[in-house]
Amino acid sequence: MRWGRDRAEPARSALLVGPAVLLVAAILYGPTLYVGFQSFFDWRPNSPSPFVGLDNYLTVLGSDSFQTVMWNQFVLILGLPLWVIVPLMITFLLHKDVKAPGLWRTIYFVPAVLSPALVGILFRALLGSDGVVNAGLRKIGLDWLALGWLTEPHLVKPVIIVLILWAQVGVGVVIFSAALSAVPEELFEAAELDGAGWWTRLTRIAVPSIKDAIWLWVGFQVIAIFLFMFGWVYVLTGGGPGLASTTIDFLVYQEVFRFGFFPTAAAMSMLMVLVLLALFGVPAALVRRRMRGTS
Amino acid sequence: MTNTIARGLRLLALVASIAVLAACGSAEEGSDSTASNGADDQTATTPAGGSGESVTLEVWSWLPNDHENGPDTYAQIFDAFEDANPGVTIELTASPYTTFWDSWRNASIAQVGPDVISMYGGATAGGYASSLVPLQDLLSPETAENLRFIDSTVSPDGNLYVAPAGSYAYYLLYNAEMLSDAGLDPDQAFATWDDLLATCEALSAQGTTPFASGWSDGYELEGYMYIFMTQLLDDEGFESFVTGQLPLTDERFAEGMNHIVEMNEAGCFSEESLGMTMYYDAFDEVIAGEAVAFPAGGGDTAVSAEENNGEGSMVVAPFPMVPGSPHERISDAGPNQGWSVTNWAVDQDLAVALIEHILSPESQQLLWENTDLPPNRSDLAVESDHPLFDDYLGIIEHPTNRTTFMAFTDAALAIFQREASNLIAGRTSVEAILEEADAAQQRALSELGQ
Repeated sequence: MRWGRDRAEPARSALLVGPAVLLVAAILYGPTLYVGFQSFFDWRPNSPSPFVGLDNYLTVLGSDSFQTVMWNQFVLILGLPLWVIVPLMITFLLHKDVKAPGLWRTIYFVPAVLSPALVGILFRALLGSDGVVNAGLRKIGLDWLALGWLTEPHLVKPVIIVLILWAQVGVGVVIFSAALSAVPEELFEAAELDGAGWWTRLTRIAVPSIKDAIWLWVGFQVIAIFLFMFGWVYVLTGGGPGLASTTIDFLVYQEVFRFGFFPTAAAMSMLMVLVLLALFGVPAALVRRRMRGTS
Repeated sequence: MTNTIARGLRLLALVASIAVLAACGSAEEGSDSTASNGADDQTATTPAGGSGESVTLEVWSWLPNDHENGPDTYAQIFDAFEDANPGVTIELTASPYTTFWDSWRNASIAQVGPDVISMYGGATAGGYASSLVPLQDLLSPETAENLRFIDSTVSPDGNLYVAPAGSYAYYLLYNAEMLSDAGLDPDQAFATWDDLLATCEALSAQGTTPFASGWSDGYELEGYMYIFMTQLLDDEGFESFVTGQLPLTDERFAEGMNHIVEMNEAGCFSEESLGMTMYYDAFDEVIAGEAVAFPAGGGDTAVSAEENNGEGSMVVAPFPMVPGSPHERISDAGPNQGWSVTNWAVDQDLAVALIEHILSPESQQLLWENTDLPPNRSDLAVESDHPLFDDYLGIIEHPTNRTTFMAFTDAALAIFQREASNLIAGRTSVEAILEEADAAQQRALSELGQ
């Protein structure tokens, strides 16, 4: 009887998990593999598409546009410490001795639920050369500070880094708050009795206790920089000036929808997947191996 | 082995596509219109060969949203077609302009979607050649003879994928009162190219913005390029350009773009122009009387500007000719857009009949009366009761007019838009932009088999 139940278990599990796996395979992995396959062809939908080997990859890797855009991606990733530290600090500030912490978390979270298009238009109105910020600066005599926030190549990426911080800080606060709520309060109280200050409690107790959540957040942010910048860039800067704020997802969109250059768009998409795997997947695998080794 | 993998991957992609299309509630809505056997019947306006079966033609367009009376007017036009063709239903999907192109790209890849669409001719239509039906042999002689700007609409592969409808011209709209206030003679201020540059210098020295700015690049570089290239190319050059033979590295393109740099150096554009990248910024600026002039492309702008700035304040004039033009007078003018039939249309004859109906004098007259869209028929002259609009119609009508707009591929225009602000800010050169734009243009043309 027990044997029969055990033997049926894998079949039942497969039956339950199967549809979801099939759906994910059909919607996510299927098209990804298809694009990967087409990246080796001179892909012309509904027309003959000859095999070209690595030509598309060589074209993309050799193009100034792609190199500039990849540089943009890595500059944007420099915002990572900011995107982690600021929500972490806010979380810890809201952790204790603050009235209505839920209200504050909600306030911080509001930008995260605004559509990227709306955020883009809002910041375009604020930061345009004829925008509210520059008008205000000129009004109070700070003309020298009224800069082309969105039109100067050296300013536009830092502006986007701050924009991402503004839009995402609330999500980080919610994730870190949830993780911190699982840390026994006695740890902080004991440390406080031992004379540990605010900074020591943050760095020696809070951060190590929620490091898994922090890594999760770092992963989310890295993925977002490569995959989810389109809405903001499209509305806020259109990728400009020049290519100064173009991200890889915006470039792929342009290649397909604006130009109809499918082969290079396919190669760019696959390179994006490879970069993400290198940035995120490989370190994660190494960490898992190390954890297995220590256990 | 490769074929097996290819088939497997195609199957997976097909499953995914079906799932996505089903989720989007896409083109299957018109699936009752399977009576394509009617295509054999030469009486095109009798659906399904007169068998009485119902046929639904799906139409995608951004045009109805272009004017407040657009939806009602197009509804009237389609109702009239349905009345004349019992059993035929027209389903219109009126999209915003940008959404339209993304949806259309998806449809053209999947080869499902609308039967009839709004489209630009020339290189744009050529980019979708595998999805569109050549119309040169399908339009009736009466329609073909009376449509203007056919030469500008033909694609580089020699096919006419778009039946041109409506017409426009780029012209110079300027505020005469602002010029007078600045101590300048409104009649002389923009009479010649040198006058234009001198006017820009005088106005900018007084702190007045000479030319309004807007569009996605800040000062409409591509619009000026259409105007200047139409002026600079002779007949042979024009022919060579629309057939995809003339590279953008030809010195005349550099000459055209250098005239924009010249305008910038003369102070024609305000310092804030680079940040004014919303499409309507330029309209708003000139209508609000915050800039003197504007290269406009529609009569409505002139009327709105005058309503806001006072009667007699605005002037409509041809854009001054740039030095080196082989023409005495020419304006960049052409079809406002056009209509195409997709090669998966359920009934191509019926789809062509619908286009003929939209292009008919009756429908074009209705569009003119309700939406101020000047017709594109040589046998249909219209007049406006507004003098500025009448001046605009006069500019459109000039017999030498044509447009280079449709000979630029989208890929090349994207480079113009992208690098426009860098050009004005001195961060790149005319030669660098044209070299990059030409590479994009040649690549796009090679995709068309040119």
